[in-house]
Amino acid sequence: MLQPSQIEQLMRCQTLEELFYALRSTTYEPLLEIYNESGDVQRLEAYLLHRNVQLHLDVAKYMKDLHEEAVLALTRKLEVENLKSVIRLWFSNTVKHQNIDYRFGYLFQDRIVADIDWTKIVNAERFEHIIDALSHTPYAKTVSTFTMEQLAVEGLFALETALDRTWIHELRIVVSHLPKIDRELTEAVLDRDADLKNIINLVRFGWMYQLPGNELRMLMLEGSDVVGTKEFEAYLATKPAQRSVEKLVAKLFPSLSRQLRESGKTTPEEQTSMVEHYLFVVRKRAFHAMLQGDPFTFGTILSYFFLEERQDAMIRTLINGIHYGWDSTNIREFVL
Amino acid sequence: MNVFTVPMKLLTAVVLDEATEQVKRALLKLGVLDFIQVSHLAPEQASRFASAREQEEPERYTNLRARVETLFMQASLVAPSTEKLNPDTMQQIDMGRSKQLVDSVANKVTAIREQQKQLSQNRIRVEELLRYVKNRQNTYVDIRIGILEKGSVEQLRSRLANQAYVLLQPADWNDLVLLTLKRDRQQVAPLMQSLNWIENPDGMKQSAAMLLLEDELEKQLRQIDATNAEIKVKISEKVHEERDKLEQLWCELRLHELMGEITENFSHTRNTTIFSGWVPLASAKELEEAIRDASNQACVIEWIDAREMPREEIPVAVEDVPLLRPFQKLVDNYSVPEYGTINPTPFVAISYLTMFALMFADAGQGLVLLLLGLLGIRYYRKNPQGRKKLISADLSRLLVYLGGASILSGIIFGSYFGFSWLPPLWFDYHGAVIGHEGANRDVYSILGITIWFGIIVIGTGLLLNWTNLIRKRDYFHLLLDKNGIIGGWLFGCGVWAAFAFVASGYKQLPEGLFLPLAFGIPLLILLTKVPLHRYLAKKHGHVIEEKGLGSIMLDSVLEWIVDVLEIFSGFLANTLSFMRVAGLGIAHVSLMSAFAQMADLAGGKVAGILIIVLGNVMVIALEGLSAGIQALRLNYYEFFTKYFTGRGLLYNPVSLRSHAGRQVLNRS
Repeated sequence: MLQPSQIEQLMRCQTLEELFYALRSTTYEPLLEIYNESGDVQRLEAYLLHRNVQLHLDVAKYMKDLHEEAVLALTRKLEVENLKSVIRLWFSNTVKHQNIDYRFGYLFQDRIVADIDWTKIVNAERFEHIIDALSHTPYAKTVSTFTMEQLAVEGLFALETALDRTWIHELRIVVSHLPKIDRELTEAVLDRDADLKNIINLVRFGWMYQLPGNELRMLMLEGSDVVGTKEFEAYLATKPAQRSVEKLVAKLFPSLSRQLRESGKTTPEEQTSMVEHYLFVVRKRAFHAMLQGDPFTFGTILSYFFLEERQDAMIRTLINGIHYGWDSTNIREFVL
Repeated sequence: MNVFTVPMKLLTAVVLDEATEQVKRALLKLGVLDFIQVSHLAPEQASRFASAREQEEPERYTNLRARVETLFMQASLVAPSTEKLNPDTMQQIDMGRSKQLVDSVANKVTAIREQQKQLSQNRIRVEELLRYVKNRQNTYVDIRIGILEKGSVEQLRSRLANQAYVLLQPADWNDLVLLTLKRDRQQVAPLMQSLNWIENPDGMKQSAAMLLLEDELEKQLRQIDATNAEIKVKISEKVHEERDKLEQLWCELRLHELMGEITENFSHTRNTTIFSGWVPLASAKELEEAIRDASNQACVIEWIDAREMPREEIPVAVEDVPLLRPFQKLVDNYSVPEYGTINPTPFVAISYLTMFALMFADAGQGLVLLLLGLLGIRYYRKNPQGRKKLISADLSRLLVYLGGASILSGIIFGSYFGFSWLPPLWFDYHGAVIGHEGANRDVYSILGITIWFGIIVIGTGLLLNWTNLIRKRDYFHLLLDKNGIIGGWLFGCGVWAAFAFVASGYKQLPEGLFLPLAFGIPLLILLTKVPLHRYLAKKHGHVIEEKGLGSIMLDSVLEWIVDVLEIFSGFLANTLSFMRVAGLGIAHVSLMSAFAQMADLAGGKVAGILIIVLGNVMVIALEGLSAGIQALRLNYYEFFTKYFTGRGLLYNPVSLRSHAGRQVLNRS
């Protein structure tokens, strides 16, 4: 892991070359060679995804039986993200008739967990071919409920959120078979994540995009306490413009409710950003607690993935921030 | 050569403010002073001192220097040698102009990178098409063979510019060949129609076209690589254009950084500057003269002997012996010796090489290691900033030694690539393992040799420990520690008793009173450890916890039990641990014999030679690695634990010479 002094040094870099020079002798050293060879920022992002997938698969190799399955189930998150990206490209090309040119080259094209023919998906003439390409994967049932005509009219939003829910569902099934201590620990993390992600979706789609209550309900991730509350039902029943996030979280997350109230931030964008930050802080605290606790639980692996994911996100932010000429204060704000 | 750490002296100097700059330059030029804050020496006076008056902000210089180094790296240039750093010619840096220079070169490089990015995107297009063509995945590509009725080939090319495509006009054909992605059909089809493309109905041409397209795509990939190489040269040229200015800037920045570091360690009164730091005794006179010269004798210099300071606060330097550098690295990886104690490096050199040689005794394979090491050294000399390979520069140097040691032991034991081509100088190791050695030696003889070797290594470790304890005047631990005289005595008696037991055919221990007394008396003395420690601590004024007689007796017995267990089981395990040296040596011989037998079974000739060559390669790689690691492990855990506390503080002077954390004194 990068040390705080190294991170501070990275944030002072003004060009990508300096950033990669500062990352010598770290696990991110290959970025320097990739950039020297290609000058292509998107290839760097592709490498970071590749690295993350490899890291998950390496951890899985060290596990056995149920724990290996659990790590692979976590890895499916990266698979789902990649699948969504490939389907988005297909959608742009085949449905929207836009030129996707070389963009497929930046996506992950090897096996992650399931045996998916990515090339077949991006080149599919009809959505049925995608369903066929995913027929032997956990996503088969989910994608088969959509049609090309439906996607052409409604877009990919429903499909993408359905894939997210499928991943969570599959993960929960695997986690339910873990030994008691690992199961309880992982489920606690998943429940909290589900709560906060649902709140983010309720703010973003229920308030910002003003989705009706029944559609919002469809978006909810399983295992969330928020969904069972009176406040949730009241939120759905309220007219989109009058929905109050503060009231929604008042009972389950009083500190978040207080922060929202005291921040003076009233726009949906600001409130979404606050909830996202709250989620990040809560997760960080939970993972740090796990690292300080019993080292021989699944929590250590969850924490490791969390810390690596956070570090990758930081490097990605630095690369994009420097490449697109963001202000150094903005970069610092995003990174920290 | 000094086997102990370098003796140090503590300097405190007061100079007039007007001489401060000159003194700083003199200190930097000499580069021997490891600064400490004056307030640390005289905490009661700390409030009277002011810290650095002008903030030099070394960070500003460090950041810009890192940027210059990044440019050097892109042009495969090495940062200027530290020889070029001259504090006497140091000038003020105009940071604005310097930044401008760096920015301008960096911007030029970034502009070239844009071309490289487009090339990278083009590579993706070509690679995708080539993949489909090579794998004959025709469902993903459209191959059109035909002619254009309207418009020109150039028109067609310009309209396809945003697509992945290949357009060919084969030499003997009237037709054009066009390869596009099927998924781009929505965009390609209308433009083909607009140019009145007439498709050739001859389906036989498709497979010939496929081969032509494959060749063309491979050619395009090669072209992309060549263009990319040209771009990298252009980037390098842009940096080379400003090389002199950048090198000069780098030197100035480095000097300012170092001067800033010195300034941070200066304290001030109203008219004077005060500084303090550790310096090797050998450089003390030179340093004093330099300060006096720089300040025109207007200075006060006070020296404090290291003996008057707490040992743990004195930084540790060791003499740099170029021949021993690879072994110094092994010691550095472990820790820093305590001030005034033995520098383990020369002892590690002997023990590490001997252990490796016993485990990897083959003159032929040793020669391969030696050559590998020499090749590595040559590579790193030619590419000082080249990418680190599997075998690093340090490892290359170590391989030269290890190869030499293996050659020597191979000659002693008569082994050359697993064969006995020449008679051994001592005994036939292979014969002893396989069971037909002339002098009736077998694997037990080899085990015996390595146990004796272990006893010598452990014994040496104990002697070094006693030397360290005498130098530290720690007579309590010298007598009563498990690695002290009592521990050593018990180890010696144990060895004697064990060999006597073996000599009796594993039947009986030596008879008589000597053995019970040899073990009994030291064990009784060991019982006094706790009360004696308390008495000495009290005598030296240390605060100790008040305890009753019963409690002290209980502590004594518990500590005694732990000590006895540690002495007996520890020394036994340490000694037997050296049997791994024999184990690996025997495994080495067994593997080579197995390969020789396999070569015989293969009927000799080419197949046999191939088996022998592959066997040797495998043994050199795996056994070599294994022997290296085991020798290191034995040094770290069986040898160092006897005398090397590793509690030293690094000597880290502000110096023009680059150093990685630890500064070793050069004999020259």
